[in-house]
Amino acid sequence: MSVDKNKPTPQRPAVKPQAARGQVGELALYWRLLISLAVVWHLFVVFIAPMSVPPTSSTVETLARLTPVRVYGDPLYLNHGYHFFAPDPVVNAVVRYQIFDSGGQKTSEGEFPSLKSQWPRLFYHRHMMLSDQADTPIDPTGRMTREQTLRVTLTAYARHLLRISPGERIDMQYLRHNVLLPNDVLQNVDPNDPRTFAEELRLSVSRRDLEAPLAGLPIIKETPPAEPIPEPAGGQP
Amino acid sequence: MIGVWRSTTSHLREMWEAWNDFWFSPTDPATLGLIRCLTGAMLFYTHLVWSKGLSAFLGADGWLPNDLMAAKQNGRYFFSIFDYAQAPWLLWIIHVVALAIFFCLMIGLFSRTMAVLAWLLALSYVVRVTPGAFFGLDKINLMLTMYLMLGPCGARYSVDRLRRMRAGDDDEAPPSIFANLAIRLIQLHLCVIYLFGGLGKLMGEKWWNGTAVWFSVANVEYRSLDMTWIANYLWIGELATHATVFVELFYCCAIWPRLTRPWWLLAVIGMHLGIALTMGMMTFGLIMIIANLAFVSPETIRRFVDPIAARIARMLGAGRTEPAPMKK
Repeated sequence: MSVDKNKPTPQRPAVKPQAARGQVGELALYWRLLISLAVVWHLFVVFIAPMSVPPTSSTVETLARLTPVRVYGDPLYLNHGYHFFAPDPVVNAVVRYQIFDSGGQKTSEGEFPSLKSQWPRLFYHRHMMLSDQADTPIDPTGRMTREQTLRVTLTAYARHLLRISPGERIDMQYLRHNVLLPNDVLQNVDPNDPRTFAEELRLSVSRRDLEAPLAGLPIIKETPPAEPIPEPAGGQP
Repeated sequence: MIGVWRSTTSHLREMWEAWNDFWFSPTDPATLGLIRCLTGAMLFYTHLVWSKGLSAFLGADGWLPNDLMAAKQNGRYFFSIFDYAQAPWLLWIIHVVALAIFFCLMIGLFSRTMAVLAWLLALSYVVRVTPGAFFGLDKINLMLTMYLMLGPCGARYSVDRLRRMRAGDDDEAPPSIFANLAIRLIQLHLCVIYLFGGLGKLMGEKWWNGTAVWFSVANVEYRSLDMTWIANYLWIGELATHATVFVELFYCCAIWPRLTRPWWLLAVIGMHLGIALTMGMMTFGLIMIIANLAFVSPETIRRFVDPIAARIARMLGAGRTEPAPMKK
């Protein structure tokens, strides 16, 4: 694979092709200065967003929450932590539900994410994000507990399912799916063994509740961080 | 004193020249053209998949209803067209238009305009599901589309180019300062992404004790290829864990020198292919590899892509029978 031959690197003198040489000046100096300022500002916002992911210093937090930074970073979708699989790989959650008619008979059931009912893989992945991001903090001040956050979000999920399905009531479970340890695999433990699932929340929603406002949502005045990291889940191995 | 002043001004002048050279040297738009084509394809596929759950994910009474999203996005300066257009028929009209725009970006029809429209629409989709159902793929899709708007992304490998050739304009696409600017911004943005990917992992115990790769590949929800056989060879997972942190952390330094760039590119491509194949994140793996094309020279891109482009041009009855020689 060839490298970027046109561009100077710290380890060799800058050698530019004749076509390029002399064209640096084609852009007027004031344009280059203006673009340079824009580039520096843009890269500052790109950098400060992941830098401000908790835990961070109060200086960085203050900088990242400055109105100009947010007014620029939010609409351009630059406010990201980029902490992929960090600080530790996620332990996924599975949401299971059963829907009942007015007589209490189960009319349907399901779960997400589920490779059986959600395909292609990207569609499955969107459902996996629904379950994984159910505990993403809503209130940046931490006044809302993880359980309260989960309850509000899962209630919204349950309402959606009840709206699109016949039935009077939906019961929903939020289960942490713990990952097997190497020794478990060597002993042929099924990765979907019921013991690998830990219930974290269970709730029920009735059809008569569908039109009511979503209870438990906080009134927030504080600015959220770039990308809040959920609290460590209780079921982490 | 005068000597100090002279050496300082001389150093500052050199710095300004280096800055000019880095940002404002014209470059062949081949790399940007290929990134446009592949990003357009990724946008098209990513959003085609939304078709399966358009109202469920973007509608007012879907998984993420308006009141929940208003609370989750409180304090954000977000804008999404789907906050205002939520009737199912309107969702579908916007969706079909969006797919047409992403397709046009992929084939390079009115490329620059399509890049702007594609970015605005892709932003609308992802903002509606942030937080809730977004992930890394969306961030990189948006990042690349944003920078495509800055440069002549349709100058090569595009219908725009074919139309010019059919009109008798066989001139080479000229080197462009803005193509360079767009590529440089992608390169530096990638450096930030990998740096914080690595720094974030340094906070985690599993990335230090070598078990992170195990907990990633043994995760049933992510798994697309059963890699739990490494339970017999745990050192493989431990080495892969340390290598991942090492590659991500030092990407921002090692990707620039001529000596280390090919190796680091191979390492990150290998890492993303591994994630794509074993953890079922093919789309994320592919978009990261597409973004890394920003570090491949236009000459290399043209060596591989020009013959294919020339063949397509011949099939469509436009242009030369042989690819144009590369300008040196």
